Amino acid sequence: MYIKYLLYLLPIILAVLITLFLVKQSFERRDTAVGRYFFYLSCAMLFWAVSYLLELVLFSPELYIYFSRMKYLGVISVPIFWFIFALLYSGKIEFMSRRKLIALSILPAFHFIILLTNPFHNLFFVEEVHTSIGPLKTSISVAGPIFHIHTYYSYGLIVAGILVMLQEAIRLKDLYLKQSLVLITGILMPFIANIVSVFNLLPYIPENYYLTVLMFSLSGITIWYALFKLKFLDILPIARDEVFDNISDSIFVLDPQNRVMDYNQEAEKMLDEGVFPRGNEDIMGKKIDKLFSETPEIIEKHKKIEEAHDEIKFSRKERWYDVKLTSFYNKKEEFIGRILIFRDITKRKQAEEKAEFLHSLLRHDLGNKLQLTMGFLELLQDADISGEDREFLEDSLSSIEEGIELIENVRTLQKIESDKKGGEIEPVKLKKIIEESVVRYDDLRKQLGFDINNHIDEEIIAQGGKILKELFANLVENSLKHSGGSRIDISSTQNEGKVKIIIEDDGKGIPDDIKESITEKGSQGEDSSGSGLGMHLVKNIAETYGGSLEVKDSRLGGARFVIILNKYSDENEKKI
Amino acid sequence: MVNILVVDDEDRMRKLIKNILSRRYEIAGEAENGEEAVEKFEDLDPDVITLDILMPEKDGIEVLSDIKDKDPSKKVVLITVVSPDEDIPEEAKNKADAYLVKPAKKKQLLDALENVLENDHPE
Repeated sequence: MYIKYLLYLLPIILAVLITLFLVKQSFERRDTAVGRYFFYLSCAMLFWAVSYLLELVLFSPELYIYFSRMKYLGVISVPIFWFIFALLYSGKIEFMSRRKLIALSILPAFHFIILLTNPFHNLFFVEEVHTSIGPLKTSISVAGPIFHIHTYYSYGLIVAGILVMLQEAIRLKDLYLKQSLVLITGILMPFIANIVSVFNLLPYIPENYYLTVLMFSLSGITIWYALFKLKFLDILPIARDEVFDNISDSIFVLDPQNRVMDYNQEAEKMLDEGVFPRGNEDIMGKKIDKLFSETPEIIEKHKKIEEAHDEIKFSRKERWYDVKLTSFYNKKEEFIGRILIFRDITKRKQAEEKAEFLHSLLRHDLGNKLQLTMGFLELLQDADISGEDREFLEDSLSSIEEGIELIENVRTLQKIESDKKGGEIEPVKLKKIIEESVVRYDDLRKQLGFDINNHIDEEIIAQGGKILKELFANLVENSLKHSGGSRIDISSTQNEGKVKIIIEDDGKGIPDDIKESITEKGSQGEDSSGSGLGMHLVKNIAETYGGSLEVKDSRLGGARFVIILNKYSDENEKKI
Repeated sequence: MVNILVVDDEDRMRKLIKNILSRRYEIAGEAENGEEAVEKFEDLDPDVITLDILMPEKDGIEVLSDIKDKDPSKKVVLITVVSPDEDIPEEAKNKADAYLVKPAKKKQLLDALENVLENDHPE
């Protein structure tokens, strides 16, 4: 007797335990809307299962009838929560306004009220007969018209939810496809069981022993798999859409034929604002070339390369964009498309242009004034001035020269910055530019009585740009002005892709305690009255081209500057 | 004696250049804009023209073209405050006999003139 009793009850107890576990797990993940509605769905299933269990185990007719009614609170809630959950999971909730969602619940609420008031009208159940399942007391209800409406309405919601998830699963593929299919399986099992029970399709199962609740066990296990193995509720497809559409960059997803497969809201905005020429045409599925019909060179440049990063001006709207092109591959490492990301940098570019304008204005006007002051002071040098007055004159001239040097250094710094942002690497013949740097200070060299020995290998070609000359000019000037020596040797060595240029003098050298700090901005040597930018520039220029600077002691007795640069080869023809 | 036409839109700059060059050469005249420079060039027939680039009416690059079109043997020294690597058109660099970047020292200006004239009379 008891064994038979247990045989009927155990599957339901198991279903209660498993749905309880689902409630606990989803409770911890209810911080997102999807997690919250999954929690409500699990609660509704648990309520259904517990009510049914109580319906079976309580022998008093009042009580089991009471719970057979209350069970319907779960029965009518499950389809609604499932449908809302499916919409949220698939990112389609915006198609359902809050008002529509409330409207969805009106009919089930009405059904429940009809159920509770059934003895007065018998619209939900035409007749209820007290019966038993084995040793368990329960009742059999004959369905009334409202029960049928409730059933078809609930089935409709469940099927709609399944279809929404299927559609999303097919669109997203991979992990989300698996997640969706497992979740659909989870809801299909009790759904089919319910159809079997309601329409009594398996006659050997007692008519009032509901398979739906039994199937909650299998459902629970399936959903458990989705939760822990497929990270359902941890990785949601909705998150992908939210991120994609809320990202502040414009993103176009292209297939291997450069056709637009997807684009986000920011990209849509870019299209609507007329940054690209496209008219009213929808570009989905069209070649990206259409957007660049006014600037075909951009397409030509990027057609076959996998990764690129550029700053591009779109003249139609006077906009600047930082454009990044990235290729992506599937698990078999097959090329499946590219992502084109546009970041609006118009404000930055305008600020840079304004700064450049102000900078050149200052450089031009200040350069002119300094030219005049220096020129007139130089004319005064020829006048009969002596003693302290002569000293004042020479000090004034030195100050002007330092001012001029400062302007030049600031200009060089500006060039370094612009080269860092996207200057091309060029082949630089080191012998030639070092000779030019030495010639620049030939007057000073003669005046100070220096010998400069340039032993640079004729063939050495390094990776560099226009400002590399400033690096060597600064080092030569530094040795001439501050070393206190009379000889500068310039030599070079090269190996495995690197070239090393050594500039050393026989002066007093650089004390160990400032060897490290001498390249910092504003750092000055003992007898220097300059801006302290010179050595900082040298290091900065070397690093701009992927090189480095070392400050050491020379075998000649003075300072030894070692510049290491990358050797130039044809493969270097890429951006810095 | 070598005659020089000094062209610059700033009074004090013309005064400075004239003062530096007058110790070695004869100053034929001066002009404060491009239009005037071309007129003075035709009137005074100078041997060398020191020419500022940024000027109203007609800039130094245009004046350079006009002068060289009229008489390619005339020597032109461009004097500019911008870096020669950046803003002077390649064509102008080739047409001019020398160019100086301001601020330039007195010696640089004199050396430039000397080089230009030496090239004219190598023997």
